[in-house]
Amino acid sequence: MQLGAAYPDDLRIVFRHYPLVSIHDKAALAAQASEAAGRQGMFWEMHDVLFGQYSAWVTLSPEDYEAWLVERSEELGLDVDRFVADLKDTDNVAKVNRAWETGREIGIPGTPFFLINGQIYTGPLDYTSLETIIKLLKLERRQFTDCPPTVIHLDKEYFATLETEKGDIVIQLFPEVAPLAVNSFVFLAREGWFDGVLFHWVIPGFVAQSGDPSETGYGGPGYAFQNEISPDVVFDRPGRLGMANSGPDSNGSQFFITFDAAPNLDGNYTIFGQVIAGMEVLEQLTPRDPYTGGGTPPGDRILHVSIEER
Amino acid sequence: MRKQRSNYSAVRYLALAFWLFLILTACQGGMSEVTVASPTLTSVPSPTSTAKPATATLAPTNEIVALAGCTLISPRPTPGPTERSLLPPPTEDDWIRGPESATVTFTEYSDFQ
Repeated sequence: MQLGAAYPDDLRIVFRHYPLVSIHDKAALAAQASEAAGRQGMFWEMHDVLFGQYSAWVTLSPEDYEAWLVERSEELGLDVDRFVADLKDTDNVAKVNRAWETGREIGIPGTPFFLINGQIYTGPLDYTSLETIIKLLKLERRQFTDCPPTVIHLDKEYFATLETEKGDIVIQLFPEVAPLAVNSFVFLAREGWFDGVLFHWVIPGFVAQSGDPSETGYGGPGYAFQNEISPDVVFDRPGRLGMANSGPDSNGSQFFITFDAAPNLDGNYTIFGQVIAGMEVLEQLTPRDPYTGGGTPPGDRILHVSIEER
Repeated sequence: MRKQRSNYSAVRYLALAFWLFLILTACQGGMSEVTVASPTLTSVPSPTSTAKPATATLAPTNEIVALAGCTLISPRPTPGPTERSLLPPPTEDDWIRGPESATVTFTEYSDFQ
């Protein structure tokens, strides 16, 4: 699996045979072939051949399939005589049969049957979906197990400087309008949460969004806080700093900055700051939309967010 | 409920994200509960959230006394005691690649055909 190569330190893949011998005439033989290759240290290579060339063998008769497997073993550079001897070896047959019986006893409904960290997963199995899950599970290790402590004082002013490779963006925060959002943002900034985090969603003319270390657009800090909507502070100008959410009161660490007035956002998103310098830096951020499919440019990152209290 | 936010597409994807989590969390309960969402994620705001603007809840000292309005998102409930035994941990019959220390383990029951 390509993901294994992409996440060598983070991902462990456990392959467990479950040959559905009652409906698949070559399932046992295929499993035995992978085992026979495995005895020569090439299980995964044969695994990849069997899945990669599926359409070439699935219609063969079991006899022809056996011959086909022997050819593949030769291609893989295996000791062919040994492969042939191992293919239907008693222990090999018994192991594959045992795997089938065990799966049946557990009640595995069919294949592929997929577990993530021991839990049944029934979602999509494509590369992007699984990669998203890996990134989110990695982020889980960094998530907080408590809501943030109170770190701001309402009689003070707060300024955040988003340092990027393209320059600084200076934002005045609005603790009186949105104390929860400002407190969380200041807390996260001081914890280094935003360090190295991508502007993962940058739509010129609309918003630049960041604050998710998983870079998937689905990540958060492990807590959620309420919307803080003020009728007096609205999306009537560029440079509004807003909290991204996934519905009311689901604010976490993802935030966005508007490129322009965005009245369609009014009422649904907390505004907790205003850019006071560096709009030109914002304008230079690489446009990026991971949700439309296709490739996305690497994008721009926040190096660090520093907080000034006055 | 989602429709009114459809003008802001990031939101839809974040909502999707929660579905992803829900799928993951729901699976914790075993196969029969696959569609059951975890209570933490679906719960609507606590009573404090219907209160007036947050500034109104502030103490006169100009210091926020407590951050009412924040809830923890427990991404995954504790699995029940019987679930592990149903789906055995890796055995020597399995083929494994990737380090034991990996954060994520995919286990696949697989049929080549």
